[in-house]
Amino acid sequence: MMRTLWMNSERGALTAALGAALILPLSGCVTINAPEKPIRIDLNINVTQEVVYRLDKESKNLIEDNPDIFGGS
Amino acid sequence: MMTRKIALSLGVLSLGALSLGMVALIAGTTATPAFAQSMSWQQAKQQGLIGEQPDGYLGIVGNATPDLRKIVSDINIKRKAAYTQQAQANGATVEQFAFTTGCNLIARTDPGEMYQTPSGAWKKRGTGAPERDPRCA
Repeated sequence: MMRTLWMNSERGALTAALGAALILPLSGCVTINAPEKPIRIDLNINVTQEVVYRLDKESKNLIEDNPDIFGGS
Repeated sequence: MMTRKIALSLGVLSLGALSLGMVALIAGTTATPAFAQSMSWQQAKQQGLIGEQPDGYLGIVGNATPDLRKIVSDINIKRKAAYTQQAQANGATVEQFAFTTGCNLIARTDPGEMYQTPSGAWKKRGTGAPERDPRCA
């Protein structure tokens, strides 16, 4: 009787240690909070400097050819 | 001698009346269209009521009156059509072509005219370079 009791307590300690081993890594998790600032999606994201440089000459030609809608200088 | 003097003065008078009438006629022909039609978009731009935006379209600087709304939308519709055509011809999006043209249009503004800075604020063009998006060429 004494022996079984001791064995039971030993098993209890083992399960407790096992449980702690399982819980410990969980407490180490990185918590992610929602940003306080509103998420702003920039619609100009696909307008890169490279694109602006590529279209620059054609854009200037368009302005020169259409003073009625772009104004003449 | 007396009759000749009268005739001469009459002639001068009629000549004066004729020239006065002509002045009125000229003034009338130039003044009438300005009152009959609303101002042109170039006039509104010179007065700083409308200005160039970084996106390649015109915007209203202050109070948006129905007249200004019409002036701006009339031009912007035509601009969008031109951007769409050029974008297709150059393998770009309408937004990309419009933005590039916005860079150029702000660069071309005359001192005293209004333009929109990248932050969205309206600014009067000075003698120096305008405040443009860093992506502008």
